[in-house]
Amino acid sequence: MAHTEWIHALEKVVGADHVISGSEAGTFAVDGKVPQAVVFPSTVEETSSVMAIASEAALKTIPWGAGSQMALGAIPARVDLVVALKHLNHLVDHEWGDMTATVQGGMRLEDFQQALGQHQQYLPLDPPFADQATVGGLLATNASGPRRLFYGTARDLLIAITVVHADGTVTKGGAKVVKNVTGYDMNKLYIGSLGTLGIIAEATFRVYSRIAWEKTWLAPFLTLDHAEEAIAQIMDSSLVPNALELLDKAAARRVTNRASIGWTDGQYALAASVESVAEEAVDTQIEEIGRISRKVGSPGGNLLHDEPHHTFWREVRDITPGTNGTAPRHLRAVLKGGVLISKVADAFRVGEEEAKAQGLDICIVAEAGSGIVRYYVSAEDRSLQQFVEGTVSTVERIRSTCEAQEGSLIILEADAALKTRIDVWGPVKGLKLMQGIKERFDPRQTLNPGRFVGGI
Amino acid sequence: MSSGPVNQTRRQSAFDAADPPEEKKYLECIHCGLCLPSCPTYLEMGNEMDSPRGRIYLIRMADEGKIGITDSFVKHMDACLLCRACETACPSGVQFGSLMEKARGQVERKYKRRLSQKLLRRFILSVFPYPDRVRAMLKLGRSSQRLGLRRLVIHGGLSKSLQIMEELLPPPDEVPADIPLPRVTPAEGTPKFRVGLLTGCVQQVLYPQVNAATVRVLARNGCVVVIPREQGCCGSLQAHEGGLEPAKAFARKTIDAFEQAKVDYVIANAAGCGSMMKGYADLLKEDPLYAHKAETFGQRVRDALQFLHQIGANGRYGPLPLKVTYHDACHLVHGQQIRNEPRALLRSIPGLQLIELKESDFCCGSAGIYNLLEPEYGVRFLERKVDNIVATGAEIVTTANPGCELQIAMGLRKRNITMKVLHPIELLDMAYQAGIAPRS
Amino acid sequence: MIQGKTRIVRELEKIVGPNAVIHTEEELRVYECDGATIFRALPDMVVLPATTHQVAEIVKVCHREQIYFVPRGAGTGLSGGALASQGGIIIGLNRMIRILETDVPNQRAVVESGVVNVWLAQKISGDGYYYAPDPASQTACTIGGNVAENAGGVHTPKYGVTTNHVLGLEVVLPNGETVEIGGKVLDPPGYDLVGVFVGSEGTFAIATTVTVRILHKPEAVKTLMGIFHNIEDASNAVSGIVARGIIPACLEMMDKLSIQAVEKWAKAGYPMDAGAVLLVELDGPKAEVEALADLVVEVFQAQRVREVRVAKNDEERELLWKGRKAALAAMGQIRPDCYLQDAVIPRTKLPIILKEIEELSQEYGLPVANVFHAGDGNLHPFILYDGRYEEEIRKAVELGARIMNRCVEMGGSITGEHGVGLEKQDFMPLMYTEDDLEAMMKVKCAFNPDQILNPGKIFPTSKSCVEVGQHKRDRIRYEPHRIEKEGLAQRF
Repeated sequence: MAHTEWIHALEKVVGADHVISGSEAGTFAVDGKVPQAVVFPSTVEETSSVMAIASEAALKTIPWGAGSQMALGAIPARVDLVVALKHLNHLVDHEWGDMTATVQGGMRLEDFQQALGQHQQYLPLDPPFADQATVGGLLATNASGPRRLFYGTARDLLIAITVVHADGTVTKGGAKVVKNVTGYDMNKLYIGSLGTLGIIAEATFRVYSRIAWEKTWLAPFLTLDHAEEAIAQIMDSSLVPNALELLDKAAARRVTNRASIGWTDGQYALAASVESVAEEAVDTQIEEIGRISRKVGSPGGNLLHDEPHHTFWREVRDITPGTNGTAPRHLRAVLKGGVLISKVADAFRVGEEEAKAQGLDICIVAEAGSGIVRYYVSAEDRSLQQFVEGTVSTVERIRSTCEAQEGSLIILEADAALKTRIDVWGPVKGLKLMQGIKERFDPRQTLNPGRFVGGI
Repeated sequence: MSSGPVNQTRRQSAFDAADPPEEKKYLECIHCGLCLPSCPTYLEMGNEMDSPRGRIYLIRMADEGKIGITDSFVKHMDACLLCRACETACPSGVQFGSLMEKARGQVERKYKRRLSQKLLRRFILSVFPYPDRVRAMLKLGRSSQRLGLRRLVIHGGLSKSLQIMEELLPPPDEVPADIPLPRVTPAEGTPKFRVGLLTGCVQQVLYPQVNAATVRVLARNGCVVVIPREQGCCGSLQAHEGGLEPAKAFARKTIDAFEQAKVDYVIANAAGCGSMMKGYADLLKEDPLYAHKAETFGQRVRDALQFLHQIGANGRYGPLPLKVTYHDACHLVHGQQIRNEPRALLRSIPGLQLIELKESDFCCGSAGIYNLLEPEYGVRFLERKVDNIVATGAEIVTTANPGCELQIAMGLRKRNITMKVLHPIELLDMAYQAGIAPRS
Repeated sequence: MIQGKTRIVRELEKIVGPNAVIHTEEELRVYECDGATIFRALPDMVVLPATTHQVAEIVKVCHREQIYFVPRGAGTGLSGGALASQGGIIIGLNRMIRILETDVPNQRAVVESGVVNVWLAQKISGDGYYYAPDPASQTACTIGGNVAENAGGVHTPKYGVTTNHVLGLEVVLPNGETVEIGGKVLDPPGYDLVGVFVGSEGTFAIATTVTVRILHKPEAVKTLMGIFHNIEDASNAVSGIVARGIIPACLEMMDKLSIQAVEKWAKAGYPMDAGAVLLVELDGPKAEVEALADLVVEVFQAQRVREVRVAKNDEERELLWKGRKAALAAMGQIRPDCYLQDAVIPRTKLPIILKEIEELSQEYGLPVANVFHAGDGNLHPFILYDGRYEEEIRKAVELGARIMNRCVEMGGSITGEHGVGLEKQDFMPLMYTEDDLEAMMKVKCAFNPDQILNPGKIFPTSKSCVEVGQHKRDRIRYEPHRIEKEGLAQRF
């Protein structure tokens, strides 16, 4: 199909005002590659027709939610069409008595949370920039945040899904009940698949009630050894924090500063958040966490509740690279490592060391109870090339450390210049099987070609 | 594919009409599989033919005429320990022990064993139920130990079984001389019960001290203890191996002996015997003369420890500062569902520290005469048991069945471990003695 | 029938040893059914490997010879999943029973797939940990089997099912290749192969080792039993608990008929004349458990609860649960045979469906006992019948189908934890379109392209992977697959 032909076909499906092309499409560039057109379907049926056209015309197509995580992934092979889902944004249902809710993929998480909030319920997912991200986007990228320690990630919350496949076929998986083993668990397949298998059109979640009491103990530590010991002891107990976050000195300074919490520089911070229907259960646990921290050498500590508690966690979640989040965009990179719980402190050490050796600024935050470590790397006044060289070496070093401990390291966000130098995803177990799945779901390589693991 | 509801026409059963495993009993098995990990042979061999569910299925298939009493059928019936751990695990209450004994009865009549196997079985079953012959065996064993007869036997066809038999016998200096017990022992204080004691074939020869201790402890708890002279073997070894007719004969004799003695309760201190006697009703239910007698008799049978716990044994114990562990004899814990009583009694002894044994209710491999018939597996189960016993760090291991005592003692001896093996009632007896002795 | 069976027996014996290949008919009979005896199929052979390497070698033979093969754990499954329904070799994993590693500081354990569920819990109990998924058959079922079926249990309302606790697998693919997917560390890059593998009912590959998450035991546990006059009040109490946002560790319901059957066996002190019983278990920090218990009692009272009992110690708690866990087996007491359904319904619809089940029971003249995971809306109607009468079998199956239909109509699912297997494959179209099923087939074909592993399960009709891979428009040019030409498989 010729260029004008397929654009015309798209316009017939969604209406001319829901297709843009030319220079207007510039803001939808992915890793600098500008699409020929951007289409905005408003229904599942329209999305299906759009994909049928894209597939027919062999268009390399990229689904787009809020665009908050478009920096994730390898540089796409080609970009012809962006399918932007901001109009596919309705709440389908909220069965509050059953504690389930169904939304369209383009709905912003924030809007979804607001709807759920009418019945004092919410989806316990708190990924970075949660107020911008769309539900489909956070599923496709398997985004998560500190609360995963207690509530898990999307894979523990998603119970049904509707997907528009590369050829426009619409399928669903799962059911609107919290327990179900009918057929394969297709929900899992799409979570974190970065839109390479289909576009997430609808998603049904199990949701939770808001809990009355929630407080945080913020413990300073002078050394990583002490923090490490505190983490080990808290994890090896019957305490049930819903989040347990370790911040390096730079992150601690920034977050406390922004949340207006009194803080002495040069200390690591361990933050444990506890929630319960009973205030007493929160207080006794906070007390115990405080006791453990002091016992292993924490020189003090802050109790956070109400607004400071919420501000603190929002700042932790939305940290960006740079001393004050001000580094130039091309001199930033965010890395995400996965390690064993007992190796979190080691993952900090290697990051600190390597960044120092490379002369880069680094800020490290870990979901300590889950073994997820985020590195925010940046430079203020370096050339792009210098920054890329330093970061490549940092990634390689941390990656090999993580892999030695059965873990992995991926690049969440980086300039295209960095992505051309190093594999965003690193080595992947079971790649052949993944390629086999992709081949069967999208034999023409229509969706997000080249952006996922191993060139998928 | 043969799936879907099945409804076959019935073929000729592989079993005959004399005491076949009952359809009603095997149909109670709903094939849920909860019994599997409770079964020592399944754990050891990892195949379902050697699991309770599998054996029941084989029995059912044979009864439905789909398979015959073939070599492999017999192999899987023989391999069963009859420990009845599966009965404890079964939520449907399948009476596995009865099914297996009846299946073995059919095997004994309808299957031709190899000559050596046949002789071995005949030999064992002609010795153990008779105290005098056991006594003679013991002497022969002693002399063989002295004369190095062992080497001769080892080169024979049944070397392994006979070697085990010889090793099982305790060293001569460990077996006390016969302890004569009076026909009637009066109660200490006001008599509360009149009880009869089954002295057992193996128990009275190899562990006469256990019977003596039982009599003393019972008397101390207000029992007039009667030991009918007319009693013989309870028949359990025969029944185990499918000798249902001889077992019935022993059963009738036992019932008669204790009926004449006019006792309130019949006490057994060997778990195998107690379990057997409690189940006489099933064995004799086709016998018009004995069916009813067997039922009332069975209701009067108590294991010694069960009885003492039930009547609330008097606690005038002296202290025994000992570290003790307890092995559940299968026919006590699974056969009679007696688990807590022995432990409670042991714990009531001041100073005694009871250490729980890992896998305490897992068969030691003795299993009647299993250790002699299936020596290879018997030894494997024993090794597992001894490992667990050693891990407790106890000084004494107690168990309430002479077969287990022999087996465990053999296992300990082979590893040069000097831990003592006792019946719990011996410790109760010692504690009473300690209670009388003036304190220094 | 396998061509050249003797030759293959000999070859397999070389891999696993002579005691580990079962090939005589009377011994194979034992493997002709699993926990669901309504289905029977005689395998051609059973092989019992002891290591992953042996599994791989066996599978290579199957692949070379294109012999069907099926993995089997303890055979406690309830949907016929462990049957060689189209013949072939059963690979029994009952000799792969080692707990390879318990890594307490990292809250992980690695086990061989034949390890019995409860063994893991026993092993780590001393360290203060446990493994959350606890199906009723946990004393017998294997963790490998749990992975295949995505087994649930009673702790699911708070702790989820098997998939929420499995992080890594070592699997032998149907071509004999051994692959590791996932692992001890969270968020491995790429598709969530582990996630889609769990619950694939042994149709993707044979899992040989499983890496799981282990949890620290809670500070406090409280078990409450609410005794209700009738099932409506009890169902409303369930909805009340859910709607109040209380997440109990367990929330189980038993109706009158079940109470009577189970009490006869378990002697747990269940009242014989009650209309329904709710068992609630709360766990967590002590103060929280107490606060939740007060809330639960409030909800109970709003539904005219007759009596509330609280287990005072571990023994009493165990006793309350003992009866619940023995339910399946105890049903044998009412009628000789039992057809257990496993449909799921949104929890607010419980009162409606229970009433309908009662009506269906009357319509068909078959008793139906309900013992189920109320907290997840996972029904377990035990349809009781006498298998000696053809008519009763037919009625039982039809009654079951009617229940499934209604559950799906109300937004539910045909199976919550037992799996589809052979039992429910014909009901798949109730929930899924042909396209939905085809998407699932595509995943299966990525793992199992020749479909020699566990054929004939889950899907309502067989379909070769060649066809599944085709774009819709191209179907006209379809060439039948070899097995299809031989009549072993057919298209939609």
